[in-house]
Amino acid sequence: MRIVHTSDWHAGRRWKGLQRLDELEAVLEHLAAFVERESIDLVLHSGDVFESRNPPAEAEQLVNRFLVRVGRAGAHMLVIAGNHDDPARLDARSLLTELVNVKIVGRPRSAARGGSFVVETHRGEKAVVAALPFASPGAWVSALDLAGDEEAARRKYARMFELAVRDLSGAFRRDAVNLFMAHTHLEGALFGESERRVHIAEDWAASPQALPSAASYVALGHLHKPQQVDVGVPAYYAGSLIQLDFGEAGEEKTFNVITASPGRLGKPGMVEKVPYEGGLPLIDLRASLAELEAAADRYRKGWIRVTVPLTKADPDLNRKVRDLLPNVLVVRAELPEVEEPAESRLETGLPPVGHYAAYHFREHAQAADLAVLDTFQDLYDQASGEDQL
Amino acid sequence: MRPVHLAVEGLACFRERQQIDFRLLELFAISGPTGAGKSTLLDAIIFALYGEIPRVNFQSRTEMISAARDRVTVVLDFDVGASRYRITRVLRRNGVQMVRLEERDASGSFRSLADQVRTATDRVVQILGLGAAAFMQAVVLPQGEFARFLKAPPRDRRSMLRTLLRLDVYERMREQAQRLSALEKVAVDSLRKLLTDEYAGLDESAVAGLVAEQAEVVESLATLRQRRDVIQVALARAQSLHAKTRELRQVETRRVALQKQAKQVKVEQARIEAAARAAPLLPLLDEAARAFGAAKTATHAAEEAKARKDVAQQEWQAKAGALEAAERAGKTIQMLRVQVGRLHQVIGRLPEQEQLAATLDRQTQEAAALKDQRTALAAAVESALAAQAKQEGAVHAARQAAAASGYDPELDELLQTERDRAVELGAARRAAAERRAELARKLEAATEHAREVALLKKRVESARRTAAKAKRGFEAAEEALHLAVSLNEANHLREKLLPGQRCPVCEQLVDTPPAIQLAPEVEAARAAYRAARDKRADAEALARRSEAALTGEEAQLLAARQGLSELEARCAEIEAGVAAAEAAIFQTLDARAPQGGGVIEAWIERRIAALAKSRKVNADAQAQQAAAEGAREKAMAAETTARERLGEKKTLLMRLEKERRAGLRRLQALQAAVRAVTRSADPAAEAGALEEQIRQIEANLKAAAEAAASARNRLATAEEAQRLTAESALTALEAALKRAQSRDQEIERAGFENEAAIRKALLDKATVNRLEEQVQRHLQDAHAADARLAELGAELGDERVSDQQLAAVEKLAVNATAEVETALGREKRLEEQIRRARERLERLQELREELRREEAALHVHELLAADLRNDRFQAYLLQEVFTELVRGASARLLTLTEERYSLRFNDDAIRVVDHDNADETRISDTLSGGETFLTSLALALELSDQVQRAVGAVNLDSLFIDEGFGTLDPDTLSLVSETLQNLRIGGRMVGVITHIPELRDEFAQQVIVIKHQGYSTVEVRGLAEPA
Repeated sequence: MRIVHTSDWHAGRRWKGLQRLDELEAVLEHLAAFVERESIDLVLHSGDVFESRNPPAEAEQLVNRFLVRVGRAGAHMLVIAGNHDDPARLDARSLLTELVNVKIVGRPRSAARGGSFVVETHRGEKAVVAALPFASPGAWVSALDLAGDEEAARRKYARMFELAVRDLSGAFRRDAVNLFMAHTHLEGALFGESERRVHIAEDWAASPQALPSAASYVALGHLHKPQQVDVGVPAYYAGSLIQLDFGEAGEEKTFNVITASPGRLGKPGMVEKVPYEGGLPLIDLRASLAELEAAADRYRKGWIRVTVPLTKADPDLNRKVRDLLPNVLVVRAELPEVEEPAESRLETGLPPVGHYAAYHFREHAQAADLAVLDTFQDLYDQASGEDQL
Repeated sequence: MRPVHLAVEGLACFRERQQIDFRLLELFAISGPTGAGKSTLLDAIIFALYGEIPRVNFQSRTEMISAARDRVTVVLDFDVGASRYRITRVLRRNGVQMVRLEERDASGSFRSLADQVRTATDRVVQILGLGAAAFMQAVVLPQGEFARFLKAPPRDRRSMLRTLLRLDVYERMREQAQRLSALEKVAVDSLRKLLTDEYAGLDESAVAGLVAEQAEVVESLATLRQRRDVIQVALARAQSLHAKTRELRQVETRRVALQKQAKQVKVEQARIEAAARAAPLLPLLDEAARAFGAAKTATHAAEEAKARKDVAQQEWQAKAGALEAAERAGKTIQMLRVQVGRLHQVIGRLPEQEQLAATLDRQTQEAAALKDQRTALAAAVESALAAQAKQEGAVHAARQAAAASGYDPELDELLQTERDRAVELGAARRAAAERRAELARKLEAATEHAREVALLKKRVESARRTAAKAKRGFEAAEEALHLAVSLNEANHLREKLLPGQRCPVCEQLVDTPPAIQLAPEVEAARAAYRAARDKRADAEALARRSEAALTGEEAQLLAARQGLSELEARCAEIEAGVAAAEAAIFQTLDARAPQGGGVIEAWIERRIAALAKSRKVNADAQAQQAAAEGAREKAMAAETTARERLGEKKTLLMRLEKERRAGLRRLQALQAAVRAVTRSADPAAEAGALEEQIRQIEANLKAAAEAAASARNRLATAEEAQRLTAESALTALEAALKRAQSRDQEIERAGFENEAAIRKALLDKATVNRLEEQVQRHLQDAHAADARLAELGAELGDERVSDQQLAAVEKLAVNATAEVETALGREKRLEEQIRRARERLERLQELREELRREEAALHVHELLAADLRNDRFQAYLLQEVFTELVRGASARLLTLTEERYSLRFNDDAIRVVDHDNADETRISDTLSGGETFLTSLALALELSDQVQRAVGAVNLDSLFIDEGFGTLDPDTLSLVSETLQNLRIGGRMVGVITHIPELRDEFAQQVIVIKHQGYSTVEVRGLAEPA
């Protein structure tokens, strides 16, 4: 059985004024052609299909077109919701995509309530897929837990993850290829710049030890750097389709092709990395205007961040750089560090009477009498008391 | 501070109780249509905490109570650190407020902290560290207001900023300081004026002068008092002598007056004596007068008795006349009784007469009804006859229609019996045709198959030839390979054979080594051999497969041919069956069979269809005939019935007429009998009236007899009374004359002239007493005056004091007393002057002190009033606070935008620095929607933080952002939702108030305010259910 693992499409993402739908279309075209050509049996998508809960129609069109094409080609496909997706909307979409053998799991659910599936290829090989979509900390940890002991709340989240894995992997069978899907951050995995920070804080990471040892392959989503997680089973983040931020410049984006055959539990599949094609590279340059001009032709393709070292401010720098290279997204001016005059500014958050004392000293060149300050405070209390009633 | 649970009832649009559990909410939208009450949720929280409602002033806050509610009730549970508090507030429409603040203790139950409005609010401020205004500013971020601020024209910005930073408080302070300094200025001026005008020259020496003057006055006062006392003693003696002198003169005057009265007293004494003589004669006078009175009364009674007798006599005469008239009337009674007897006889016959009349009426009505029925029955007979005629015609018509239908029942029956056979015949005919077609098809297929088999045979032969050829090729290649191998081995060995040495194989000495032969390449030969072997195997396999295929095909062909002959036989059998069936049908139909060609069964079907049509027409006609016959029968029956009943009615009518005539005769006889007795319509009433008349006459007679008897009695009584009264009047007159005679003798004997003189001399007892007392008193007074004159003369001697002498002494005494009083008054006045002077001295000290204080306060307030002017401290603070605000906001903005934007504040404008565009700066009013949002959000967040820092408030774990956008373009929407997601750091609760559905949908958790007709409800959506 041959399986493709893809993830983190973030369709409809707006980034520095770009939507990059053309690139997404090209990459998905390439991926779909691959699935057709290689007679792939099963496609796994481990979450963040869309960038937002409410994606633009163009993005939905691209995604739907892909799902239908892959389904028509005879492959099964399984999708789980990521932290960017609207779980309820994905569940609703599943009602239609099941018509072309594409099953989508939006909200986390137990094996008994449809959290795991048996897929049979046309050659009669069977795969069991246990799918665990993204669970927000709020879904598993109440605000009360949070308000109490944050550490206990984190432990509770990790514990809930373990319980869910145990329940879902209970569906694994000896005579099938056993697959596990999850959208989460595992401790020890590397993240880039483009993930939504609040969710990938180490605090809410799940433990890699929680992954089911009986799985032939674990398909992970959430982190944008393709990587294998160092744990007893073959567990991989497929990563994003394209480089999503300058932090990922130069990084190769790949999907995984797994060859696995039914047999005993825990029999690992063979994993091969295949690069996505069709995305434009992100380039992070540090160059003077002259150097940039000289090398401009090498950077016509891709999206660029340029840091220009300057000796003095150049108000026209932005225009000059963008005239040279229209595909520059970010122009950073790097000026020599100027020591800001250390103004004798008072500490922030002074009470009003403090401000007045400072003003008095500055204005009258002498410290204010206590009587004056007391009167000031009285007047202030009186005047703000009027506010209250 | 983190809200845990809110229940609100009766506040503005939340008429019914609404509850929100905040425990599971982290980042959520508060959404709903404009005016549904999104902000009212925040109002409820603030009202619960502080008892006031933002945007509504204190006096009119009861107007926030929902219509038709008399109170607003809000219960808020909130956490601060590890403590849980509950505050309950109720505000009634009459303005009465109730509040209870509780804290949850270790056991989980709530313990009251305060239940007075003021103490509870003070505790809340203490717990949160924030007053209401600061709380609102820190928890509800006026992001929208900052957005407006950034876009406002420059001249409006300063005042908006003043409002945002709450700097108006300093303007109020300045106004207050100015007000106070003005008051103090007035106070200082008036104090100064007072001191110069009123207190000039006031000091201790002035008081000392007053004290010395007072001592002098006290000294002179003693001398004056002594002199006054001496004069008082002299005065007392002079007064006593003066009084006695005056009395002596008065007594002398009195004695002269008494001597003048003595003559009058003697006259009085004579009057008393005459009265004593007259008194015994008075009873005689009275007795005589009484006797005359009695005589007069008796005479009067006699006259009255006579008058009464006359009246009684008149009355008796009247009653006697009435009795005579009544007796005349009594004589008519007998005649009336006879007439009554006759009437009673007539009345006995009246019921019979009425019954007869009723019977006659009924008979008349019955006769009329019978006549009507007779007429109706005659009409029924007529119509039944008409119906018979009509139905006769219908029967005739139906018969003709049935004959015209041309239906042949015999043929119909025959065809029905033959039909099944015809159907079978048709099926057999079709089966025969199908089989015949199948036979043809199979024959063609067998021919085709035979052609294929022949082709296959050719192929087998060719394969066999190819296999033989391949075998030969293989044998040649094998041989070539063997040759190549042996030659190569030989060449190999040959290399080792050197002349003169031993062969390594046979150990023989080599003479000359054999010549080197040209040996073919072994590997090539091996390859050729392998190719040939494969080719042979392929060819043989092909030949085998071809043969196998041929054998199979031949067997199939044979089988197919056998099948064909069977099919042929079956075909013939079916066709024979068809011919036989056809013959049988023709025989049955005999002459009716069709003469032309065509298929017999089709003809049968057609005929049956045609017959079915005519059969239906025939059946209809017969049904119509039957119906018409039935109707005719009915009409005939109706005619007979009607004729029978007509006969009955005629007999009945004749009998009735006879009875009626007899009844009429009897009635006429009865009516004549009645008319002989009376013309009255109602004899019974007439009899009743006559009886009443008789009773009346009898009663009148009786009454008249009684009245006459009574009048006669009264007359007798009156005559007796007249006689008695006349006698008694005569006796009384004689007695009176006798008494008058004896009276006149006594008057003469007493020496009075006549009766009148006696009456004049008479005095009553009181007058006598009074006169006697007057005489007595006169004698006593004269005696007393003489005695007093002698006494006074002895006491006075010749020391007599006149009025003038006394007045002189009195004047001396008054003067001495006045001098003393004057001195005393002067002393008192001096003492008061001294006291007042001392008080004024003290007041002077106080006033000087007050002046000093007022001057100090004036100085301070003048200083503050000047400093607090908006171009001075206010400007300084605006600059200071705003610079601080922008600095903090800039740091936040960098974080929020992942290092893209920061802020700079100079030249009175906020500029956004775009680090993605070579630090290009943009002035705030040229920012895009997204940049405006980010900047204003950063400013709002920083302001919240600064407010908290400035008062040292508790950490506010909750934020409400009033986004305040009209619309959002997709880019901005994406930026806004991304940024808002980043806000939820550290478990902070963030609520975003929005009415934009796209923005709302970016939030998994939503608090939806639903607007109904006249009220709103709240619903929480999207709380994740556990997996």
